[in-house]
Amino acid sequence: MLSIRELTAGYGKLEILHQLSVDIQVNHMTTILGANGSGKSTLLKSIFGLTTITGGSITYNDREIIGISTENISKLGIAYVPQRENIFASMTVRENLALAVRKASRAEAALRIDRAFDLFPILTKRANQRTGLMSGGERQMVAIAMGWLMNPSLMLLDEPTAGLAPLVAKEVFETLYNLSQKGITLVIVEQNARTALRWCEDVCILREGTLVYQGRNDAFAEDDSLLHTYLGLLSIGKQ
Amino acid sequence: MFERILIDSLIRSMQVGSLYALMALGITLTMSVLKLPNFAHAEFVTVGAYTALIVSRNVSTNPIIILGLSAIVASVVALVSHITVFRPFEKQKSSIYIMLLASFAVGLIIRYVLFLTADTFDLFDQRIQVPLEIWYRTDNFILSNVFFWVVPTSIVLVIALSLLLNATPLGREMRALADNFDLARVIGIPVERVKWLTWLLVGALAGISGALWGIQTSVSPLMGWVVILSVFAAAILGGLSSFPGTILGAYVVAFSENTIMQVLNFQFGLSFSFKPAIPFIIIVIVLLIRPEGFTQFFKSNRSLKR
Amino acid sequence: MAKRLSLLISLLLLIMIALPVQGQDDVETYVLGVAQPFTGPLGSFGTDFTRGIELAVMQMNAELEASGVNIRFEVASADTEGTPDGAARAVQTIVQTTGAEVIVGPLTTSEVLGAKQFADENGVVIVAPASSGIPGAIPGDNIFRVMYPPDNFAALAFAEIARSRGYENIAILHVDDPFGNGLAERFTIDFQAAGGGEVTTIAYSPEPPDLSGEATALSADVAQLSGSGNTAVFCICFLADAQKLLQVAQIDPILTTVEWMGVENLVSPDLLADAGHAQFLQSVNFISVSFTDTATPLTSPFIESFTAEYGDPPGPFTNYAFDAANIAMLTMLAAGNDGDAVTGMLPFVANHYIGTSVQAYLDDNGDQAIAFYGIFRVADDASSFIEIGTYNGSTGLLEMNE
Repeated sequence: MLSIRELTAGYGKLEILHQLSVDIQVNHMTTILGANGSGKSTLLKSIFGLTTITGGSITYNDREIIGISTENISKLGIAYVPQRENIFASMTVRENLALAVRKASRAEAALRIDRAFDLFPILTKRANQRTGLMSGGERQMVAIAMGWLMNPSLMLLDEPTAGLAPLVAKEVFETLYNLSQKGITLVIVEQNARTALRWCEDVCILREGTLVYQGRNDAFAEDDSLLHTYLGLLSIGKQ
Repeated sequence: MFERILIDSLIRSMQVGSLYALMALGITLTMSVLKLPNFAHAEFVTVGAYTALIVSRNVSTNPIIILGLSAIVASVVALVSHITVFRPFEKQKSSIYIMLLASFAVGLIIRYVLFLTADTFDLFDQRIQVPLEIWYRTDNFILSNVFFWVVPTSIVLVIALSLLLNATPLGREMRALADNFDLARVIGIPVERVKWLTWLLVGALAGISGALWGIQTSVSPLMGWVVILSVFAAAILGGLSSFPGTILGAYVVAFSENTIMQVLNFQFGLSFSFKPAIPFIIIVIVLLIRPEGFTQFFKSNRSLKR
Repeated sequence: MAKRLSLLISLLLLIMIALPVQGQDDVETYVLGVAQPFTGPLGSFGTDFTRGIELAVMQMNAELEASGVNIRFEVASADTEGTPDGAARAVQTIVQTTGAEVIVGPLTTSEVLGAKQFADENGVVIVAPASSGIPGAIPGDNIFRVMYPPDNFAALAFAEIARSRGYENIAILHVDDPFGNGLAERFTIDFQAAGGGEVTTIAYSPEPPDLSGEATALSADVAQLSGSGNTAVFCICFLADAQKLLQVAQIDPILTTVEWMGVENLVSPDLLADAGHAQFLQSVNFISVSFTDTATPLTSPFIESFTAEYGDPPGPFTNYAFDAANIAMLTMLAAGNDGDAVTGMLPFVANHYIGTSVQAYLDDNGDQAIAFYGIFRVADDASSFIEIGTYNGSTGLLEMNE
């Protein structure tokens, strides 16, 4: 569904991804792992036209998407939840969600927002609160809910559990798992390799801007040494 | 006598403050939504005043028609400056300092075009053809038709603007741009279109305030420039982002320039020549003591940015 | 290759342009500096003034050539931007880039005073066509104000008018600049010397956004002064400021009850364009003075040749720029391109110059000493100003026709 071929990208003159190729399978939860600076976030940003792309191709359902402006990519059915500043902090939960369904008619928008509250019950009580005043987990939920409201078939998430307590992180992954059960393909960039491997069946590992491993998560379940090989001890993540 | 001077200056603070609020809201909007400290705003104001002058002479002296056409012409000028100057600079990812200088340049260009126009058609220091009438009078004070045009118009526009920002999809999108530009793009808000509409809105606000300021005084190519400092002082008091803070700031600046100045003059003989220093003093004090202005007083969801 | 070629061609062109000047090396060229505001609010004055100066230079050069005199004048101009600093820069630029020692300009007293220090220190002569502010009246400096009389005559005229109208106290509103401060101060001295009573002053900074606060304060001054006698308002301000003042004054309960005087700038049909303002000025018996042009044999030839050259008739005071340029050039013909010699000779030449509207006669300050003022009020139909008397600055004689 999403196919990246020999992608070279970065910021201005700084090149971060070097001829990276990777394929994302439909209806899977894929996690992208890698040390800091390996290019995980850059990969997601490149899909959304937020980097300087100097070579390669990104096709989505066989359509080239490099060159499509950031604001038009969501129309293709891709949603992107950035790592930081992924909500409109000065606005209420309801306003944030309303922005995600801005194309829908008034009645349909209301209906879909109600469904979002069903799916993310934690937000119901906070509907009219400013998101900037909420906890990290709640904010992450708002961001994911916004992404889901855009009706995507592919969702890209950049470290959705960063800075969250383990219990909250688990909640986030449960929610994401629910979404994948609804038929949404998920690509999740993660720092915490162990948590990610528990939930995501596909694993991609980046190192210094290139893909060094792609495969199933069961390979890691049997052999912990694979993790050491690709990520090094420090970035495996705490249990 | 003191009582009369006090009441008189309070009325004036209200009238001037309402106009400052209209102008400063435009600056706050450009600053927060478009990320531009727009000094050319002064010239949008002047363009509005000149439109009002020409309309009042050649088309109609109906204030509503005058204000409407001033709003249209000034908003077109604002949009054209965006398309021809500000957008190309944005495309180059220019820093805010370059954008600020560019806005100075745009202001200068418009100002000198106005100078040339005024010179050619002999339009220096002319009065907009809306005659002054006394609508209400007591022993202590007099309210003219200008007061009744300026104050309610400003209040209605400020209310309309807050409704637009808080209760319409466009307003929500503008606030989204102000809050988090990249995220706005990621979730598919057509940012360029929202920017265009913001410029039109900002231009219209400037145009109307220019027409009203012209009705209150007289029209010259420098008129916007001579008030812009006070207006920026008001916007800085509002932290360059808070909507209610900007309105409060506008009245504070107007009150200092009129009522406080008047009382100091009456009681201590302080010369009116110090009046232009007042907005400077306010800006310096704000930047030293409370760089965030009144933003913290208005932590509701109504402010444009955290 | 192409680059080198184009460089060569430009070089050749440059030489070709330069050659004719080199060829006539027996002709001596005097540079006449012109410092005028070309930008800013006064830009249209500066442009028109410069045309008047260029016309004088053209006529002079034609005469010199026809008579076989080997001297030509050349104009070098710079923009004062209408500010004191700008004027200083403009004069300095002209002097340093062209070696000019005589400058015609600048326009306002503030600009003249801005350029004064550089001029005095470097022996540069400034011939100002229209500056009249009292602070510019300084004996023994390098500044000559040849055609337009300084404001001390206007101050005397207003003091005389106030006396003849029976004003006992005066409330002044004046612009806070050399012109306004000088006139207000001088008027107060003259008025009180002529037996006048109390004078209050309110100063406002130049180019005010509005003047309503100042108007209220003026109203309070008038209320207080009226307690001790017949009081009038004296408005020393520019036209645009007067409009802002009248916008408030016309509905003020006190300012509408006293009589008003105002400076020469206000004798303009533009002030009467607003019906409310015109009616107000009529009801407060507004009176002003204006330096009157009398016709000389040069008056119509100047207007005709100016119109023929530029398509438009000359604007107000442009003839003074023409006159100033002529006095400067005639002096240079006698004294050479030497600032100190020009300073010595200029009064003598000026005192023998006819002028396009009035003869020049300089006092000890190097300022015009001939000052005929007309006295004006608003006509009965409120559409224009009409002359109702005269004041002769040299004799101090006030004559009213009504």
